[in-house]
Amino acid sequence: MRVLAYFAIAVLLMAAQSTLGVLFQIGTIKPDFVLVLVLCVALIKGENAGAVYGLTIGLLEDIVYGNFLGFNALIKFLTGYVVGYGTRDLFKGPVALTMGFVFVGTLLYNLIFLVACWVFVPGYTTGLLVPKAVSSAFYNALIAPFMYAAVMRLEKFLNFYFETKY
Amino acid sequence: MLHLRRYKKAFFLILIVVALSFAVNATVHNRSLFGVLEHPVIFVVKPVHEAFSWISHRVRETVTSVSQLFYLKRENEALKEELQELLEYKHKFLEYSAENARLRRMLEFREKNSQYDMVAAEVIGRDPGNWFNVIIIDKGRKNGVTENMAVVTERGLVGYTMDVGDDWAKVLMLLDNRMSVSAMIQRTRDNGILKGNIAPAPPGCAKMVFLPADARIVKGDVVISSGLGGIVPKGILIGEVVEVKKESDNLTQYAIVKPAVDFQKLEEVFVIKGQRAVPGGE
Repeated sequence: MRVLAYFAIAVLLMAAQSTLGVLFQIGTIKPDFVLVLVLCVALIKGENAGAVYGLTIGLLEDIVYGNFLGFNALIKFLTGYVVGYGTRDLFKGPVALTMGFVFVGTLLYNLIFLVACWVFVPGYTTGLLVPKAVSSAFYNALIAPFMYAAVMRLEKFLNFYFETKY
Repeated sequence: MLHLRRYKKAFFLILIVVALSFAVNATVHNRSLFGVLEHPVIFVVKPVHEAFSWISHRVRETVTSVSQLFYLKRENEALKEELQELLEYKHKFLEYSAENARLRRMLEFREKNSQYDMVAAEVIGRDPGNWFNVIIIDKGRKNGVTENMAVVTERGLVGYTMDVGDDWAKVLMLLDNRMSVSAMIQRTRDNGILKGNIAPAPPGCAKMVFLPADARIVKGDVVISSGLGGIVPKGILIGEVVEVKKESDNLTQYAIVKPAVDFQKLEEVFVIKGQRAVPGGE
């Protein structure tokens, strides 16, 4: 049931990202709600959950929007795992730290994206990656506290509903 | 045991990475493999997408409308100014267009009546009262205009100059009660005197008197100047007969004549200074 709830949230968030995302667009940069969700899950629940969630959402993105099956899945899987693993023993209480982790996580995601492009799609040119990666990392860091709080509340609710209540 | 679990986890991790890499590589080279998964998933996700897309459009429309409100006042003022400017241009255009048409008609008239030595003049004033029909034109002695010169337009006779300054002249118009000009019925060649707007002529019409009692004048006959009296040259259109009646003494008859010129809309006129010698003539 927990898996289904997360899956439903992923589907809704992905659809919202692709349609409502333009409302939050500043210049050419949109916030990546889905990536921030993966990063927050990785921060809260660890590398395994981050990797699985990244893999699932990535696969969904690949199927619905992507051109190559597994491309986004691989990048989000690795990002979720590395961020979850790297922050496993770190204190994540203050908002600034959450923002910092999401900022670094977004940069890591873009780095893995670049490497994956080199490896799998040689003809693809990434363009101005650094300004794009840094500005999207800033934007994602801004929404990170809200997403983090939402995931925390969701976890508490799910824990109460599936573990305490029943 | 712990090492084994760690290796197991690393093994899974590598396995997933390799599997995903394989999938990416496979779909890079053969996209048709993708279609098997693509269609059913998009079929499921599409309604959600459509719902969010609808919300997105509504929100964007609302946000755009609200943000436009801030610019609407400024835009409205700018548009009003622009409209005012365009209206001015429109008025000017209509004015120039009408003036152009008038001047063309006058030029045509001038070319057709090359036997007359004429000077064009602009109407610059009009008697403000109701009793006199006098206009002031912007040409005077400096332009060779003197008293008792016929004033015409392309439509017909206006009147004659009665008072002349250096660069202005007063013109007594046909409808003034002081007017008296020799005229004739073009068809029957009967002569008479055209007085101004005297009884029983209705407003806007003149009375032509001293017409012979046996003259067969009918409504619609054209009245032209007869040339007698020496002020107005012969043959200039004056108007047309709208009514013919016998005088009370039955010795003469009179005609009510509607002038060809619309005196309320006079803007440019010609003053006939004299007649040119016709080339080849005596």
